Amino acid sequence: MPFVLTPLITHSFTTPITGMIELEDAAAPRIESGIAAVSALRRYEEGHQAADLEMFHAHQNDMGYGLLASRHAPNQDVTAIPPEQIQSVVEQTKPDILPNVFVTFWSFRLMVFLGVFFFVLFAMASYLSLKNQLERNRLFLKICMWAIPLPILATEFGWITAEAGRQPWTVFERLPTFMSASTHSVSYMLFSLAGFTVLYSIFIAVELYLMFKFARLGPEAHGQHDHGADADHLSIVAH
Amino acid sequence: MDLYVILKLVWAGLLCVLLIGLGLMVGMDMGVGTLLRFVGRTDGERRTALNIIGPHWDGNQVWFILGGGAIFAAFPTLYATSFSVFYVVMILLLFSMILRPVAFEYRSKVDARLWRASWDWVFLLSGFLPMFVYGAAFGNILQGVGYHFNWSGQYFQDGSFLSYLLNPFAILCGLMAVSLSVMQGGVMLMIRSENPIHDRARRYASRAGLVAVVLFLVGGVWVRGMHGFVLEQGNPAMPANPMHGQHVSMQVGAWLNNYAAHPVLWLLPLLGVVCMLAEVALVLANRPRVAWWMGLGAWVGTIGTVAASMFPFFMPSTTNPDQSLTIWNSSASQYGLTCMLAVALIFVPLILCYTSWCYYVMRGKVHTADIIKDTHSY
Repeated sequence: MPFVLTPLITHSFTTPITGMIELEDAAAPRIESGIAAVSALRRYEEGHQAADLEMFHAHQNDMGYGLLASRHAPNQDVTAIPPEQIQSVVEQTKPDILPNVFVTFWSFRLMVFLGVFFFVLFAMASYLSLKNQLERNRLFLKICMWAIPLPILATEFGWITAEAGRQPWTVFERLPTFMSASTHSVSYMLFSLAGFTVLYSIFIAVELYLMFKFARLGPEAHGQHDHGADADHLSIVAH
Repeated sequence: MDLYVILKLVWAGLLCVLLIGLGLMVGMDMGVGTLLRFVGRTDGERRTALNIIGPHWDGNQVWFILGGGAIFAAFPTLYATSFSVFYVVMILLLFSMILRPVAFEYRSKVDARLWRASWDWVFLLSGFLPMFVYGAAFGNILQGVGYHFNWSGQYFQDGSFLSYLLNPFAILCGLMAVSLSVMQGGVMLMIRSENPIHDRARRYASRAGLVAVVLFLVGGVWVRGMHGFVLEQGNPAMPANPMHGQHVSMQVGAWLNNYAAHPVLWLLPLLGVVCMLAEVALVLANRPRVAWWMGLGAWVGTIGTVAASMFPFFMPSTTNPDQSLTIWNSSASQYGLTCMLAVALIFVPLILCYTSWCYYVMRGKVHTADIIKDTHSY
C-alpha cells in the first residue's frame, strides 16, 4: 500500500523506502568502521596510546556496529579478528542489523486488525443501544463476552511489534541488545521468571474468582447503594 | 566551586531526603502491616488498623517511586549497578511489594475466615520484608559490595546473593529498619485508634523503639572494627565514569574518619538516639502526635549517620575498590542534573503540601463499630 506506508515511515509521499538488501549493504562500511572503533577503544583501555584515541574518535559514531560484530568475533573480542577475516565477519554481521521481519510484520497486523475489530464492535454497540436492542441481541452479547481478553492480546501484539521491531538495538545504532543485558546467570533469570509466573498465576486465579463472584451478584445488588457507600466511607475515615 | 560539583552534592543531599521520606512514610505503613496481626485480634480491629492508613498508604508510596526515580535519573550508574548487584534481593522486595496493594484491595472483598487470614499473613510479609531489605541494603553498602566493570562499562558481580542476605551486619541493619518502621506504625495507630488497638500499639511501639536504639548503638560500635573505604585520589569535578580516575583504599575503622575530621558530625548519630528515646518516652506518656515527629528526627539521624560516614561513597567495591561508586563518578550529566533539579524543586514541595493536606482532612479516630458496618472500606 504505497500511500499508507510511505507517509507513515517517511512523512512524505515521494521518498522511496529502502529495502532490506540495500539496508544491509549500506551497513557494511559502518560495521567495518565500528570494528575499528571498538578495537581502538580496547587497545586504548590497556595502553593509553594517543594514536588509539585518535583512531577511536575517527570511528566513534559507528561503535554500535562494532559491538554488534563482536558476536561473530573469536571470544566476542573484535581485536582478535585476523585482518584477512574482517570482511567475512562484516558479511556475517550484515543480516544482524535487521529485526525478524516475519514476527514484526504479523504482530503489527494482528494488533491493527484487533483495533479495527474493536471499532466495529463499538459502532455496533452504539447502534444497538440507540435502537434499544442491546440487551435482546444474544449473539452480540456473546461476542462481547468473548471479546473480553482481546484488548490484552492487542497490547501484547503491540508490545511484540515494538520489542521485536527495534532489534538488534537497545539504543538505536549505539547499544546492541545482547550487550545491554546483565551478566547474571541463567539461574537468576529462572528464579525471577518462575516467581513472576507463580505470583501472577495466583493473581489471575484470584481475580477471576472475584470477577465471577461479583458478576453473579449482578448490577442490582451493587448499583443501588454505590454512591451512598462511597460517601459513608469518606465520613467514617474523616471522623 | 564548579557548578557540576555543586549539582552532584545537591542531588546527593536530595537523595538522602528522599530516602528519609521513604523510611518515615512508607516505613510507617509497612510497620502497620507488620503489626496488623498483633494489634488486631478480631476482624473488625484489623480492618480498623487497615483503614487508619487506608487513605494514605498508596500516596506515601510516592517516596518509594521518588527514591528509585531519583537514583535512576541523578545517579544512573549507581541505579543500574546497585539494582543489578542485589538482583535476587531486589526481586524478593519487588514480589513482596507487588503483593501488598493486592492484599489491601482483596482482603475485605470476601467475608471468609481463611481468605482474610491469608491476606493478613501477606500484610505481615509485605510489611516486614521490604523494610528488612531496605535496612540490609545499607548494611551491605557499608561493608562494600563485590563488583567490577570491564572495558565497555559492563558490570560484573563478584559476590553471591546469599552473602548479602546471610550477613550478620546486614541483618542487624535490616532489623533496625524494621524496628523503626514498627515504632512509627505503632505511633500512627495510637494517633487514630481507640482501645484496645491503642494500648497494644503503644506496647509494640515503645518496645520497637528501644530495640532500634540498641541496634543503632551496636551497629555504631561494630563499624569501628569494620573496614571502611578512603578516597585517596579523585576529582569531584571528574566526568561521571567509574572506570578511571580514582584511587581508593580499604582501612579498618575508616568509616569514622569523617567524624574525626569534623566532630560536628557527631550531632547526627546523637540526633538519632535522642529522637528514638524521646519517641519511646512520649509514647509511654500517651503523646503520640509529638512522638510521631520524633520519628522524623530518628530517620534523619539514622540516614544522616550513614551518609556522614560514607561520604563521598555510595557503594564501595571490595573486589576493585578503585571502581567504587561515589557521588563524583556515578552521577548524570550536568544538563541532566539541572533539569531534574528544576523538576524536584517544583514537585517535592507539592508532595509535602498534598500529603499534609490529606492527613489534615483525614484526621481523628477511626471507630471499629463504624468500620464493621461499612463493608465497602478496606
